[in-house]
Amino acid sequence: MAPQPPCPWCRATDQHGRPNRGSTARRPGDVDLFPGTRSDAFGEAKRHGTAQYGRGRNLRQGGRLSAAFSVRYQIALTEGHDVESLGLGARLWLALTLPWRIIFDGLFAAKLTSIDAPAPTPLPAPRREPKVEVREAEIVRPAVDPGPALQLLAIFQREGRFVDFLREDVSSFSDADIGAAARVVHEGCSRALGKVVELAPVRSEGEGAAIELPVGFDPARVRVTGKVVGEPPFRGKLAHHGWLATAVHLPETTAGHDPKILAPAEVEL
Amino acid sequence: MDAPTFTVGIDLGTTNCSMAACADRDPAQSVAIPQIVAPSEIGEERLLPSFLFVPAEAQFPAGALALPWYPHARDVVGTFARAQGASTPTRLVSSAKSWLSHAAVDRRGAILPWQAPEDVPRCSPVEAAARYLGHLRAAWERAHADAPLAEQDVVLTVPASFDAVARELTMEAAELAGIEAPTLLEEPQAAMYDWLAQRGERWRDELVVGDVVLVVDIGGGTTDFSLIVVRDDEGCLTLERVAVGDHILLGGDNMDLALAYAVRAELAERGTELDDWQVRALTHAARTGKEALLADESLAAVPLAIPTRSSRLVGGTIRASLTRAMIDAVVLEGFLPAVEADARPQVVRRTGLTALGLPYPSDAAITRHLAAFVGRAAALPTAILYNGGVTRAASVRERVRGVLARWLEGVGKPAPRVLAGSDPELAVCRGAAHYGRIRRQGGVKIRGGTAHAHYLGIQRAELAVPGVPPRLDAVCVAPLGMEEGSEVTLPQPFGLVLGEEVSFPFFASATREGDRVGAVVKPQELQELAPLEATLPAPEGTQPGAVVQVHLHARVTEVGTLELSAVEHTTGARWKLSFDVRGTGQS
Repeated sequence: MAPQPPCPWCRATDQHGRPNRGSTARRPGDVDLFPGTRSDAFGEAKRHGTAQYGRGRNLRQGGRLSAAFSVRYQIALTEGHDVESLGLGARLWLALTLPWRIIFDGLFAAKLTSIDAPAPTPLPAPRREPKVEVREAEIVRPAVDPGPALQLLAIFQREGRFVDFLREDVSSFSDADIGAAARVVHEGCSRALGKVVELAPVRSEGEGAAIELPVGFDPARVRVTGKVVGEPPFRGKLAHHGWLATAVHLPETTAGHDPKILAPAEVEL
Repeated sequence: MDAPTFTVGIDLGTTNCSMAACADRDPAQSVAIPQIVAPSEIGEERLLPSFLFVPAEAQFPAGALALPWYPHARDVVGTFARAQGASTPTRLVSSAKSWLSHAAVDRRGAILPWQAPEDVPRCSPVEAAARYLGHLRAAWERAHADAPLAEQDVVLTVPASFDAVARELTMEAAELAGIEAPTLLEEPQAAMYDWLAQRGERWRDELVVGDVVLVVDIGGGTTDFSLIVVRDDEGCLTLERVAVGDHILLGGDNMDLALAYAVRAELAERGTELDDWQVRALTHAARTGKEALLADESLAAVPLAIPTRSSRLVGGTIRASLTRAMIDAVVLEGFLPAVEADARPQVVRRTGLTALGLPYPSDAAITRHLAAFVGRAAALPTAILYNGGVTRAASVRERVRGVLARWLEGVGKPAPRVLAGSDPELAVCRGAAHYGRIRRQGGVKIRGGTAHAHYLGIQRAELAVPGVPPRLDAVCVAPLGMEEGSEVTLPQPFGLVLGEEVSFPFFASATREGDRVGAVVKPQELQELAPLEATLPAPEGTQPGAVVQVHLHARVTEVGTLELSAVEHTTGARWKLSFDVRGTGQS
């Protein structure tokens, strides 16, 4: 299997972070420690004095693969997509495959036409013409991959019974019962959230503080409400500091991962 | 081989492993460890739980446990192994490190999971430890493809209480895992190195000549004590480790379990019974509650919520409460009672038949074990360095300090100071990485040499009496405190039979400081280890069965293991003696 080209938008390989679904065929060099068959590579390796877990060729391959398929999701969400230079191999691959994609994929071709356009900068805002924004709204819509969303849901369920909680009819229960369950959800989900998403407030000022929004403030980051009259600068009070995901660390998924299974059924034998 | 780029410290813990590395003069950084967190999901964590889970063939989809470096995995270590093993304990290997130091079992034999049903594949304690180390190595090499671990300077930590045999087996596990010749370092020393690294040159302001630092290391499953003395060596401050305690199988996990049982008993009084799954959920909740109560003295109680296993979360969750009174009674009075300096661990007399499991102490009071340790040490502590997850709790630190202060007050000494500022969870691996750098670049080193003196059992030459086994003498072959790279020779010669297997009883002591090489002591005062064995091939020109005169040499290697060899008097021929770790079959 040839490596897939990196996504030109976020440098993730393979559309947004599906990892290498390598062949499951047994390769020489694989070492099982507990073969029910203790015929075992381990015993054999031990006899030959080369017992090493996943060492050598295989691992080195793995290392290369993992570099190529690194799916960290550590996309700098805040700063848009800052693109670094690609390696020669990736460039060659792109050069070979791009013409075909441009011919057969109209959406992709449309994206390409915008690649040389300067990235929208927050300042100064007025220069950003409405036309441009409309175009972006139309085209920046890759095929939705539900995987990461379902994976996050599965993590919240696993760690904090999130889906159980939301799917239960709570109307007949006392606040105390709901509160006890909320503890389970809060404890587990807040731990999971802390691991998966790095969060920061959009505005570092304390809530309630007086805020001045200059000309050209980013209306995506700050939403003004109330008596909105005239042009910026605006003066107001910070009602909510907002949340910003500064990094996402979803676990990588491997072959056979089915994101639709949020929680397996459990059977006690 | 190029000069190593990194020094890598590995903490092979009883319940958690961790890894840190440093290059050049940068501070040691902990290394993230990718591991299976759920079937088909690989997440990065700072700790690798030291658990190995061996699922049944049909338990998970094919490939669900695959790692990039272990694509056909049929077992799993780390976070998911611990989570899954909690509900399927017969397939879980845990506390492999404690088994590694348990002389009553065959440590190279496939005995784990302990007492597993017939069809569960088993492994030896050495293989289990190798499995964790192999995972760490693969994790390292995934992130550092151009710097294989075997070519880096690796420091592996062991409990100070590990005897020569357990250290040897740790090395064996490392070699199985492809980590060649790591240096061994005692965990409490590693914690001290981390503190030194954090303090930089300022450590000399906090410690003065004559200070005695007590390292109190209370981890998840084990507790270890060490004493480190600050000395003056021609105007320079130096550190020397002067005493180590026993390996005590007691830690935070015991506390969580005890709290869970206390809460369960209270629920039972109200008529609420918990199933096994709920007890585990309760243990988990009790740990969180314990940490909250121990961290904040003003809290009177922490509510606990125990979910049911079914999807009925709101309707099924049981409410309970962990109160300060429970924490005081169970954790502080149960595990850390304010005992007198002359208190000693209570030994329950064993019944005739003892189950052959891990040698858990019969007395859970850590402070009584501490009293025994301080009581037999030559120097009294003036400062405390805490390590291990439990000591993050302010009340635990304060209790240990308070108890020690009272003992010291009793002999007219001031209360001990607390050396603050190190992270009790990662200090050991970071300190190990720091030590690796000191070995290469120089810096303050903790001296102290071997933590144990070792003895060989030799039959007394006396008239045989029918029905009475020949009496044994124990001869000191390697005194306490031998430095790395040093060698001693036993003055008295032995006659060895060539071509036949010979076996000697072997003993250790962590307390007999005065014994020199050749000293003869009673074996009853020592701790028996695995016997030493060797088959000496008859060199050419000698008859098999011939007796040759040999001298026994004991050498502490550069990496910290003990090597014993027999050297023939006349020819200088050398035979290495190895440890027989097949176990004595008694606990």
